[in-house]
Amino acid sequence: MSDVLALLFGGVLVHNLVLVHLCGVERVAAIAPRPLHAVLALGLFATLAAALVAPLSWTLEHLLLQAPVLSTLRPATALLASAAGVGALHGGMRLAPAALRALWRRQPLPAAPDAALLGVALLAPALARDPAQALLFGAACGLGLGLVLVLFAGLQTRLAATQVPAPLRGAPLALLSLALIGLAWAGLAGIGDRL
Amino acid sequence: MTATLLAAALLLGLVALGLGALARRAGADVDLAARIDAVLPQTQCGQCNYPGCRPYAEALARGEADIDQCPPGGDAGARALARLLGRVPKPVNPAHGTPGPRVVALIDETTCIGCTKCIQACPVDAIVGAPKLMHTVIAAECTGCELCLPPCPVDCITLVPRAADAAAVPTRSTA
Amino acid sequence: MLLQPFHGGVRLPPHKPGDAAPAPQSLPLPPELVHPLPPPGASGACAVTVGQRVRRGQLLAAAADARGAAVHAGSSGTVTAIAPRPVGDGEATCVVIATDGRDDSAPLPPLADWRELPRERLLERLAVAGVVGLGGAAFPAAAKLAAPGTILILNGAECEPWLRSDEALLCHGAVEVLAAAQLLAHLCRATRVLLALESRMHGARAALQAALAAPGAGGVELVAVPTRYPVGSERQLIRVLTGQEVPSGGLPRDLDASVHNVASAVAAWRAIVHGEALTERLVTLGGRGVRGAGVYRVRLGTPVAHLVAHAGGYTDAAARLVLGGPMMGQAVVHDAVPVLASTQAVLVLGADELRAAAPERACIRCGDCAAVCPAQLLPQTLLAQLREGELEAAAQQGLSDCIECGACAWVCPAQIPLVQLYRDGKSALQVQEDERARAAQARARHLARAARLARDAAERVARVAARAPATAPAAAQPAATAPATPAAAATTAAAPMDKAAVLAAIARGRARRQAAAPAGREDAP
Repeated sequence: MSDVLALLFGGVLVHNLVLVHLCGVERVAAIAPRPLHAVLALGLFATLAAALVAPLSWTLEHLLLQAPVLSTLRPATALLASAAGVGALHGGMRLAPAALRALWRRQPLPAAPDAALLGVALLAPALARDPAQALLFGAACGLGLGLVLVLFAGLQTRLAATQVPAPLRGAPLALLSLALIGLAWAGLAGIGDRL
Repeated sequence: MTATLLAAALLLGLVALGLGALARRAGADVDLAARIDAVLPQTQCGQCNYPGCRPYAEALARGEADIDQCPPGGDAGARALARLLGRVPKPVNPAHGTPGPRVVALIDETTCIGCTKCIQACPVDAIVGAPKLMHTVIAAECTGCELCLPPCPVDCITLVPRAADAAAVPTRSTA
Repeated sequence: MLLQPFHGGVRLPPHKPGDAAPAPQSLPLPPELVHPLPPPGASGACAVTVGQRVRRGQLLAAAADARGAAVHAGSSGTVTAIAPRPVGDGEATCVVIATDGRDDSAPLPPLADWRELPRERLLERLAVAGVVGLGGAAFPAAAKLAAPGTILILNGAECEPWLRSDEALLCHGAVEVLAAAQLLAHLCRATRVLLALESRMHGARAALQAALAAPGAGGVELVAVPTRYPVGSERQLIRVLTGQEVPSGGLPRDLDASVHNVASAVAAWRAIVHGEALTERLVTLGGRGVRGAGVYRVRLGTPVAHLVAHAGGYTDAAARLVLGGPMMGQAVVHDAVPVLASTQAVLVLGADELRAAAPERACIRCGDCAAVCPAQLLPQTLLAQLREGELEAAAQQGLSDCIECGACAWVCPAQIPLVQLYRDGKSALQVQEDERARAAQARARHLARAARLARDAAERVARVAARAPATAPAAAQPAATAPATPAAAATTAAAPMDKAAVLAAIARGRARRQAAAPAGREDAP
C-alpha cells in the first residue's frame, strides 16, 4: 500500500515532470490563458499518454538494455517508447466514441512526442520495479503535468489582466514563475525516499 | 503487484471518467453553434466569407473557421468567441475587414429610382418600397451589413453612423 | 434589537455639528424653473407647449415607462422653452418655466380616506403624482411599492458626510413621518415597521419619541443604526436590521422587505392625503465654499445658482461643486443645473475638504478595497478585468452588484478611480445587452426572410409543376401573379424598367458621388 502511495505521490509531486525534472517546460511556458475545462482535458490526455509510455519504456529497457554496454542506448529506447505511446494514443482515439474523439481533436497536443513524455520514458524504468508500477507511475506523472498545466493556465489568465513590464512579458515571466514555483517544489524532495 | 495494478486501474479509470465527463460536456454542445450564434452580432454581412452569421457559427462549431473573421463583432466579439470555444484570443483579421462604429444604410430618396434591388439584397428585410416608388431603410432594423450597396444601380445608398437615441428634440408638442 | 454588522464600509468624518439638524428654511421662488423631461425616445410624452401657462403641480410629461416618473411644474408661470439644458454633468431636454410669483397650484383631489381605498388606486395616484425615491436613486415609488413586503423599513440613515436633509425632516416633521409610515405600511401590507436612524441623531430620536407618544401614533419601531458608511444603502440597511443578505441580482422583495426613504414616504403621504404632486424636496447646502449652510426647502427645477445666491453666495474657499453626497454625488462644473428629485444636497467643498489630488499610481495589491467593499466584491480583480476589457468576466465577478458607494476608491492608496471604472463597466454591460437585443431581432428577421424565400420558391415550383402539362405560356404566368411579396416583385419589376431612366440615374449618382467624394468613406468597397 505504501508502495502505491509513494508512487502516486512521487509521480504527481516529488518527481513532477515540469517543476522538478524540467521536462515539458516549453509546453507549460507557452500555454495560453484558457478556461479550466479546456486545460483539464489537455491534462487528462497527457495522463493517458504518459500511462502508455511508461510501461512501454520500462519493458523496452528491461528487455533490451540488460547488458551494461547497451545502457548508452537508453535515450534511443526512451524516444522510441514515447513515440510509440503517442502513436498508440492517436490510434486509440480513432476507435474512441465520437464525443471523445471530438474532444481529442480540439486539443493542441503535438503529434510528435514532446519532452514531457520523453521524461516519463526516462524516469519510469529508473524508478519502477515492474511494469505495473511503471503504469501507475506514468499515470501519476501525467497527472502532475496536468496539475502544472492547470496552475499555469490560471496564472496566465490572471497575468493577462495585469500590467507586466515589457521586457518580462510572455515567455520570460513564464520561465521566471516556473523557476520560482520549482524552487518551492524542491521542498518536496526526498519524500518517499524509496522512489 | 496486484495492489499496484489495482491502483493504476483505479487511477486510469478516474481519468477515463473525467475525460468522459469533459467529452459529454463538449458533446452536449450540439447547441454549440446556437451558442456561438448568440454571441455573433447578426449583421448577416458575410464578411467572414460565410453566407451569414449562422453558417459562420456552424463552421466555428465544426472547428473549420477561425475566431477572427467577424469585423462587426470587433475585438471584443473575437474575445467572446475565444472564451466560448476555449481558444486563444486574437484581434480581428484585417483581411476580413476592419472593425468600426456601427452604421446604418441611408437611401438618398431624391436619387432612388425604385428598382427594388436593395430590397432583395437586404438580409433582414429592413428596406421597404415598391417598384418605381422610392425606398427607405427602417433604421431600427438595419444591421449596417452593406449588402445593399453593390446592387444599387444609382449608388444612392450611403452608410451613416448609427444614432442610438437620436430622437428629435421636441420644440413643439402635439398635446 | 440585535443589529448585525455588514461587511466592510468606512468611517467618514460626519461634518454634522450639533445633536439636531437645523430647521428647513424656505427659499424665494426662482425666476426660472428647469424641468428635465424623461430621456429621449419618450420625448413625445411632453404635455405642454411653449407659451402655455402652467400651475404648480401641473403635469409636464407623463411617465415614459414603469421605470420613469411623471414630471410636474414646480410653480406657476409660462413655459418659455422646451430645449436642451445642462442637467447634472450632461444635457437633457427640459421644460423651462418663467415663474410669475403667484404660485397657484393645481392639486389632485385629496384621498383622505385612503384606508378604505383599494391599493391599486393609491399606487396609481403615486404614479400620477410623480412620487420618486428621494434618497438619491429617484426610482418611482409606485413601482417600488407594488411589491408588498411584510417588513417595512423607513430609511432615515443618511450616512454620507454633510447630508442632513432626512435628519431635518425627522427633527421637524416627525408627525408627518409617522403618518406616512402608517400609509406605507398599509400599502405594503407590512406587519412590522422599522424606522432606521443613525445613532448620532439624538434630536431626531427625541422628536420621534415625542411624536410616537401622541395618541393614534405608534406601531413604528425606532432603530438607531451605527454611523458607518454606507449603512444608509438599501442592501446594507437590510443586512444590519434583519441579518439577511439580499441575494446577488435580487431585490429586497426577495426577503419580503421593503425599504423606503423617509422623505419619499412623506412625499407619498402628501400626494395621497393632500393631492400634491412631487414639486419640492429638502436639500442640504454645505461645505466650506458656501455661506448659509443648512437645509433648504427647494422646488424641483430650481437652478443651483439661485439656491447658492439666496443662501449667501460662494466663499473664496469654493473649490468643487457637488450634487448629492460627497461619496456618491456628482461633481458638476457650473451651477446652471437644476435641483432634481435625486439631489439630496448641494455641496460646495473647499480645497481642504477634498482629498489632495494625486496622480494615479499602479495598484500595490494592499487589498484595502476588498476589505471595505460592502458588496463583498473583489475590486482588484474587477479593475484588472475592466482594464483588459473582459466585461463578461467582470460581470461574472459580480460587477452588477456594485452599489457604487465609492468606499474602495476612498481607501485606495494608489488613487485609482475605481468607482468610475465600475460605473463605466456597468454602462458598457448595458450597451452590450442592448446590442444582444438588436442582434436577436436581426436574427429573427433574417430567419423569417429565409423562411419566406423558401416558401416562395416552393410555391413557384409547385405552380410551374401544376401548369407544366397545360399551355406553353405558363412560364410567363408566375411573373404576372408574383408581386404579392416584395422579393418576388423585384424579380419581375426589373424587366419593364425604363432603360434610359436607369442610365440617367446611374450618371446622376456618379456625379453626386464624385461631388461628395472628399467627404465619403475611405474604406468603401
